[in-house]
Parts: sequence; structure tokens; C-alpha cells
Amino acid sequence: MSRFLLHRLLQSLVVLFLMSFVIYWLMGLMPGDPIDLMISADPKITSEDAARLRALYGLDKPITERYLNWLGAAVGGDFGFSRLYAKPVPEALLPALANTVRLLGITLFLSLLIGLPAGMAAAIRPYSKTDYTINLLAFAGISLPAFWLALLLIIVFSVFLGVLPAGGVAALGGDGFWDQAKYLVLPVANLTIASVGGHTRYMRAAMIEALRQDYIRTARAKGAGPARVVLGHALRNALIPVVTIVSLDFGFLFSGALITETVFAYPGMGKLIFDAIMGNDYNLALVALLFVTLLILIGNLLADLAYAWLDPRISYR
Amino acid sequence: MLEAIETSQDPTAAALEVRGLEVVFATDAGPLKAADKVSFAVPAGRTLGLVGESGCGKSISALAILGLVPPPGLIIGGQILFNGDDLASLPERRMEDIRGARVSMIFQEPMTALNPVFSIGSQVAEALRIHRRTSRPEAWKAAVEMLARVGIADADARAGDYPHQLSGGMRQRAMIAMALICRPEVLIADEPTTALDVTTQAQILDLMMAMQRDLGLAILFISHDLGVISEIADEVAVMYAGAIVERAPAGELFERPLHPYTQGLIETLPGTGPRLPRLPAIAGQVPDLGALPRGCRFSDRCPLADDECGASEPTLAAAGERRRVACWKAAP
Repeated sequence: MSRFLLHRLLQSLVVLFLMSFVIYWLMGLMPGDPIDLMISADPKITSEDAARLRALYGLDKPITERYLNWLGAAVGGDFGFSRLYAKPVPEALLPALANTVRLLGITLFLSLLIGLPAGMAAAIRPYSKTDYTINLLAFAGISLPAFWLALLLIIVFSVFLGVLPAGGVAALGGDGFWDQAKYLVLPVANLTIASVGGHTRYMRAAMIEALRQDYIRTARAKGAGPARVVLGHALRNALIPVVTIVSLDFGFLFSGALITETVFAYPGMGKLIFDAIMGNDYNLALVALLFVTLLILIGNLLADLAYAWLDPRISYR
Repeated sequence: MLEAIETSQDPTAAALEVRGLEVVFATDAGPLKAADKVSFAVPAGRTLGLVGESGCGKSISALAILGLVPPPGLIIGGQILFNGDDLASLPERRMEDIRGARVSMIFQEPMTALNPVFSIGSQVAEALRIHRRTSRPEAWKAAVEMLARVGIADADARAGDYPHQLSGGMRQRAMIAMALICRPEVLIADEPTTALDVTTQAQILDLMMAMQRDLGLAILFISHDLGVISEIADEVAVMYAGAIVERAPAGELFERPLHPYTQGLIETLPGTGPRLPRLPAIAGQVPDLGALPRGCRFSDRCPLADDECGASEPTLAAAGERRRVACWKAAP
């Protein structure tokens, strides 16, 4: 097991290293550079000034050389400076990350809390009224466009009813728990409605598959009641495929929900990456994207560990 | 039509008695009768072999006893008498108390019949936990003892193993331990040796007979394999296309089968006599349950069939002292 972990960690390091080059190279391919943005913001900059600035920032060097310079600094713990936020990159990144963890952590928790039992309830009696009702709601959630639902939520709860703020993370001076929590309600509702349908459908499919197996008949033949059959025998088997889906969601979720974060003016990772790329903020975009890569790798590792815990047929050596 | 039950013993001694059982599957093509007035009895300490080809309704009849017919199947008639109760009309909650405690079942494929994510020890112990509300450590201890009793060496360590870590024979032994740990009166075995190699088959049959002696079990043994049936059964019921066509004590049946279908089955057994160029086979194939021939359900494949057989269906009638056969042509 520890050998497996070590192996996977080394693998992850290699993937991170390769990804850093790919991302760096892709950003180099983008039209323009930070100096071009400075020129468009200040037409008085002469081309000599621009060339001097490029030389100063090392932007006139070939991309491999620039990459190696960056890598050397990054390994030493220096991730550079964000030109957009005028702060060192980690200082610009951490608040956004904290916001996203809060928003999407709650969303994932709620979505699983609602989706898994709903999927199970639907699977116990497939094609019953309960099943059709749950499916209808699930498909409605999957089909509603997130941006439209977000606008609708704002119109209803912020404009008409005026009970919840339309966007942001906190009012000035609002440090209490409820002061901040009310800013999360609409974005969390929006994202939960968008993701709970998928979780319900996956759980339903996995549960129906598990309930069809021979060992379910065996469990019933030894006198197990419905609760024991479903929660004791079927659930653990059904969770194995669901874990895959959730772990894939994990990385996806933490790359930020760009649309939701934009509509609700929520300063999370999605909005940060978007702004960093649009603003040619190489340093920030690079580290933020690498961070997302790291989270996806962690998600996959957690999924592998969850498999081994759920399914004794899987063992890692 | 219901008919009196005849067994080799006093009929009141039957541990389990099935009378006129009818199971129907509602399909798009109309209702299919998977079990048509099936009647048999299994006395305590004896084994009834239920023989027939795949799809003849033997497994469905067995599942019906425990109320486990999969939907869209439904019991629409008959009685399943066990200990004074009619299992066919018992509410689900009371069936749960009987399943695994007083009437147990083992299945054909022990790999898929055991839950892959639980150790065999916990799966055996679970039966006790359900029915006797035994504490976890005590149930585990009893499970280990039971596993040792069904011939699993080093049961203490093996109990922690998962199904995929055991051989086919060991898995079936674990299934038997699970079925018998609550000391049931009746064991239903649905093709328990079919998925095993011949040597293991013999060991499992020996084990079942030993457990029968120890516990006074009534065994309903379902198989398509007449060879296996001849080794374990005291009485044999032959099923064809949803109905029992012949019932007789095992010795008499193999010596002198009365129904042409039974005769055909026994002829197809590879014997020890002179080698035949080809094994004989019964002509034709099992009819679709939705399109049974008129009259006798075997008439389209029967070498003896004539107009009478196509006109009306023979019922299971007495043919000798302890035998019954459903055939117009069978000479008693």
C-alpha cells in the first residue's frame, strides 16, 4: 500500500511537471503579452520603451529558456508576481481558493446528500411513480442552463423578494456567520441544482445494477429485510462506480464554476483563472491552472484509495 | 385439479409440501405459465430431486417456495405448506422470518451468489445476526465453527477471506454454511453442483448428505443432471415445460422410467455399456411456454404420440404403488 502511494505520488509529480510545460507553452502561444496590454493602456509608450520592458521581464527570450527560468524560480518557492492584482501570486490565489472551497465544498456535500438517497429511492422501485418523479426533477436540474437559472434566482430572491444579496461574498463590516452565509445561498443553490441531477442519475443506475445481482437474491433468501438488502448489500457495491464520477467531479468543481461565479460576482478560482488569462497575467494563470491539475490528481488518488476501501477485490501493491 | 400427495412416507410427515403451485409471468406476449399445477412433498431427512431441462420451471418453483419469484412473475394458485402455514399467502414480514432460518436456499453459481465486498465469515454470521439477534463476536464465532463443519480447513483464518479469494468448491461450502447455520428444516438446492468440476461435485454431494443426516434436513435438490440426481435423491420429480410429468422413488425411476420424456432423458445419459457412435438425443426442442402444443405438452416430441395425446392433456395419475405419471401411453 505504501509502495503504491509512493508510486502514485511520483507519477503525479511527473504529470505536474509535464503539465507546467504544456500550460506555459500554450500561454506563450496566446496573441500578445503583458507589454502589449501596457501599450494599449498607455499610448505614450514608445517601441524602445516596450523593447526595454520586454528585455527586463525576459519576454524577448525563447520560450524554453523562459520556461526554465520560471521553473527554477518556482521550485525555489518563488511563483512570481501577479500583474493584475499587484501582489505575489500565492497572495492573489489563496483568497480565491478559499472562496471556491467554501462554495463548491458545500455544493458537493449538498448534492451528494440529496442525490444519493434520491437515486436509491428511485432504484428501489424502477419505473414506479416515485422513480418517474425523481427522474423528472433530475432531468430538469440537468437541463436548466446554469446562467439562466442564476439570473432567475437573482430576479426572484434579490429583486422581487429582496431577501438575499445578488452577488459578492460579504458586505463591508459583515463578519458574522449569517452575514456571510446569506451570500452563499444563491450560488450554492444554483450549482447544487445543476449537479444534483447527475448524482441522482448515477446513483440510480448503479443501484439498479447492484440490485439485479445474484447476491441480492442470496441476501433475501437468508431472510434479510428490505433495509438490510439495500443499505447493507447493494449500497456498498453501487458506490464503487459512483466514487469514480464524484472524484472526476472533484477536480472539475475546484477549477471553479466560471459561469456561476461570474453571474454572482463571486471571486473564486473560475473567475480568477478567466481574469488572469484575459489580462495576460502569465504568472497567476500558470499557477492557478497548475493548482487545478494538482487537485484533479488528488481527486483521482482519493478515488483509487476509496476503491480499495470499498472493494476487497482491488488491492494495491 | 388438486390431487392427493403420495410420498414414500406418511404424507403428514412431509416437512414441505407444494400443492398445485401455479406461477405466471406477465409478458408482452401474454401470460406464460412457468409452473403449472406443480405438486410435490419433501419428508424430513429425505431428498426430492427435481429434474428437467433449462427453462422447464424448476428454479421458478423453488424460488416460489421462498416467495422470491422475480417480477413480473406471480404465484396465482396453489399452496406451499410448511409447518402448518401456507407460504404462498404469508405476508412478506413473516416470510423474512422463515427464509434462511427454517427454509434455506443455495444457488448454482457461488461466485455471484456471494456478495463480493463482504468476507465469507460475515456473510455466514449475518444469517444468525438476522434471525437470532446474536451479538457480533458470538455470531462470528458460530460462523467460524460452521465453516469448519462444512469442511473449510483453517476456518479461523479463512472466515476473513473474501469470495474471490476462495475456490469454487470452497465458495459453495461457504454457501452451505450460510444456509445451515440457523439449523433450518428444509434446504432448497438449486443446481448447487453445476458450476463445479466433477471431483468437487462429489465432495459437495457428500457434504450435503452428511449435513442431512446430522440435521434431519429435508432437501429439495434441483438439477438438470440425472447423474447427480441418481446419487443424492430418494424420490425424483421430472418436470417438462412447467409441469411435473412423472414422480417416482429414485431407484424405480432409473430402473423403469414410465414417461417417454423420462425414458428419453435416461437414454441420453452416457452409460458404462458399449460405446455408441453418437449419444441419443430427444428430437426437437423444449416448446415455448407461450406456444405449448395442444393436449399433452410433450406430444410434439414424443415418439408414442397419437391423436389422443393431441386431444387432451393427461393428468398426473397413479401408476403403481408409489409412482405417478402424466401420460396416456405409459403402461403401469
